Amino acid sequence: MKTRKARLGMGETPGATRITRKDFLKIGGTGLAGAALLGTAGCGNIFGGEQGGNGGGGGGTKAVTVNLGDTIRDLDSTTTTDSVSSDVLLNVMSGLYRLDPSQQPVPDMAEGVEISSDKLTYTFTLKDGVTWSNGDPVTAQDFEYAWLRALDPETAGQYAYILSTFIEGATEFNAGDGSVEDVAINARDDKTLEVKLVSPSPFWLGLTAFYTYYPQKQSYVEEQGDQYAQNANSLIYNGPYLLTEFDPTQGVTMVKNDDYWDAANTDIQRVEGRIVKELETSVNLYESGELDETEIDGQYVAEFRDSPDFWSQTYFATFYMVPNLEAIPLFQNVNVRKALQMGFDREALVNQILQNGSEPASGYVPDGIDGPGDQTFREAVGPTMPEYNPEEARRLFEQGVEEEGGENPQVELLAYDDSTARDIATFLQSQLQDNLGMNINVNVQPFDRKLELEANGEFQLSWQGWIADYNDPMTFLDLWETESPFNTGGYSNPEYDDLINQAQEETDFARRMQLMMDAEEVLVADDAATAPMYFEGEAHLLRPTIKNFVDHQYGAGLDAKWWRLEG
Amino acid sequence: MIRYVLRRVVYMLITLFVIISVTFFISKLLPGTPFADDKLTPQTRAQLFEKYGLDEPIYVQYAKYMINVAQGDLGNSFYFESRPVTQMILERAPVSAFVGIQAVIFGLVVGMVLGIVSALRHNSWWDTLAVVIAVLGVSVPTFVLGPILQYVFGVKLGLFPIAFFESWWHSVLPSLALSVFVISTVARFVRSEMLEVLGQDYITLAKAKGLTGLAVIIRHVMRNALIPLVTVLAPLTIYLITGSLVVEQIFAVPGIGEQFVQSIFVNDYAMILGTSVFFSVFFVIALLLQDISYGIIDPRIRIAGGSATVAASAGDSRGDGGDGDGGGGGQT
Repeated sequence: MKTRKARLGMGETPGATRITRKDFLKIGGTGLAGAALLGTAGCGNIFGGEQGGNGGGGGGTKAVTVNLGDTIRDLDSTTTTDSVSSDVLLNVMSGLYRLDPSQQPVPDMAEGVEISSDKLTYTFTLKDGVTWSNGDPVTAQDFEYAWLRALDPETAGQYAYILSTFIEGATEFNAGDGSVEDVAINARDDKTLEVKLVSPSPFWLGLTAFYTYYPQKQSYVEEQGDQYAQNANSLIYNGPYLLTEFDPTQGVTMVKNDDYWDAANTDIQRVEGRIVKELETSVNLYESGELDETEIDGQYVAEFRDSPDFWSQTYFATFYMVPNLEAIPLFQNVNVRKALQMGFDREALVNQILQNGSEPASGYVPDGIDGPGDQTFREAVGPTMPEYNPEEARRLFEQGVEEEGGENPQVELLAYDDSTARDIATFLQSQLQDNLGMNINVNVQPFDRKLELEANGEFQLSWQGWIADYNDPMTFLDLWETESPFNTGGYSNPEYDDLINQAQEETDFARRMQLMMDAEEVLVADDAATAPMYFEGEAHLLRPTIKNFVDHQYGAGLDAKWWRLEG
Repeated sequence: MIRYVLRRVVYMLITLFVIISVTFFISKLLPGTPFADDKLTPQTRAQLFEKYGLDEPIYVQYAKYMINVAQGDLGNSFYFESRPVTQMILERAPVSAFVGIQAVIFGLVVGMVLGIVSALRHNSWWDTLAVVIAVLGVSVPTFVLGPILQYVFGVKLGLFPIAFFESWWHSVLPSLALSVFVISTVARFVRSEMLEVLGQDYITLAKAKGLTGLAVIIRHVMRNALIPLVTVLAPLTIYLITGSLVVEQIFAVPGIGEQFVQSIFVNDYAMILGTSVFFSVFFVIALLLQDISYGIIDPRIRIAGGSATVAASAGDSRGDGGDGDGGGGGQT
């Protein structure tokens, strides 16, 4: 390359205008000097800290680099809500419990818990010798402080509800009506935390692994003031890793915390979290070895599906169609709703449109959510959604239209402004038109506006997604109670409400589960109140040397504590 | 001269005031809120609005914001929990500026060489090559060019890093991607201006006097051909150093352009306003400098009585200035 350039330059020299070599240097020199000036001015501060990348191979350090995919918005556990911040926090913070690779809670900061016979009072005992990264012990007061801080109306924590829904006195305090003394979170001494719940909730122990339930040290938080959690050194850690570098737009560096109680079982010593938003770039970086993990979709799923680097799972999220019974009287006919359920090809939807690891929905509560005994809920209930059957769907639809007076109205499908959402809308439109003979037009709105229209009941047909707050069918099923603010389609069945209410009060957890199984049967199989479409999935490129990769199916995701690096 | 500058500064402040006000109200008209979450309860929403002062009447919010801006405080981001907007802009703007200025310098050097060569070798295959490059550079969008550069130089040849912003080497591909547009713009301009100047009588005169080819090119042709370039280059530079969403996304460069677009999508009012204020201060100061420098270059502009004639007379003065300069050259 170099020699060729030089030759071209030389060839230029003679000729009519004869620019000499010296003149060329003059012209070029100005540019070079400018670049050099910028270079020296810039290097000192604007280039991101030279994060080691995959480096450290010489010392035998086990390091992985993951793609966080988006900016890190907030590392204060009492206010944060986004999945990127929570991925980071999950690795540098520890709650009372932590989710194991199969989403079951195992003691982390807690040694164990005693649960009263009415299943309402939880008494946690902390482990001996657990410490913050500044050397202070982790105490029961740290949990009490952080939880109350999250509930404080002044904090305006968006996830306060994840505490207030379950803990006695918390809803009132959070609403600004009650007093902080009435919140049933009490540190009895440095090692003992007592919490009283409003109703028996077998899944609640798993929630103590959720980030809003992390501890914070009062003296430290107050000392840092506005600076708290803004930098890597304005936060203290009690998790398997320590944050050594943190830039909200460039990423994080996390190194193993040797003082963590289970450090002996933490295999990977260094985790780099980078931020690459562009899919093509992230795949290029993966292939060049600069990333060891990144999420993919679309064409790349098709390309890598059979590669050893491909990894996918569904998480606890369902996307489902909601007919608005109040807006379109025809939807009050159960045959029409059943026609909706069997009138679109879920396999085609996930394999041709989504291509992101999602699976066709066989019911409303997604795969993997706990059910009776060792079974998952889905295994126990079996499919409640009918198979795709266009002929039967058309028959049911025509029958329903006839029963309702023979009019087949124009129906507006509410969609939102996102390329995948547009594809889904087009797919549903053509399926329902071709298979059922419905008249569908699509209304695309910004996502925010879509939520608003749904909340106000100003839609005819839409689809919605719901991500589990906790590992229990109730996080999905209570949405369909008559009074639920998320029941946007106007579905109301006293039998269903009754089953949900009973389940919420039930202290016999086996019976409770049975009530919820019955409820899903009523909701999906009998009433066809909704047409579940798919269980949302995620597909990753993952270095095959990373074993035991855990990306939790609810709450925060990437949990490097469990990962193993081979070779 | 001082009165002239003072008057420009006053106009500048008025312009800024109008820009900030308009942006403030437009940003409030954006659909949605900064707290778009399908699980948000009305109660928490009310708490958040109170915390961020969004529950107050819009004129109160406006007054508070203007008072803060006057004191140099752009407020805190909604999206990045309580992070000061000023701090985020100051961290990210230099990154975009570095990549942009580097692109301008590189583009200028290469573009001028291409332009000069194709003008001097008019209708040769050099000329054709330069024209083809110029057309490609203007018409191939960066979201196509960026990934191609990334794939060829980063993945295949391994000459430069694929993405991120950790050393000077990381800035090469993003700057290159941006510079292609500069190269082609500059090359086209230089070429056509030079071709025009080369045909002027005073060039023939200069040659007739026995000046060497080089002296003619440097002293007479270049000097006159490059003046219009300055007018094109100023807005181009500003455009480039305020960042490019596409290039910053593709190369994972943490710059201000990406930040600005992102803030609009998530209704981060403070960030939308902060970046707008920052950009407009930047633009307005650049225009001020341009006006002042026109005044210095061409005294007729500031003496011409009013100020409204600035743009028009600046345009007119180019041709005149060229002739004058040419004459001056002839005398030596």
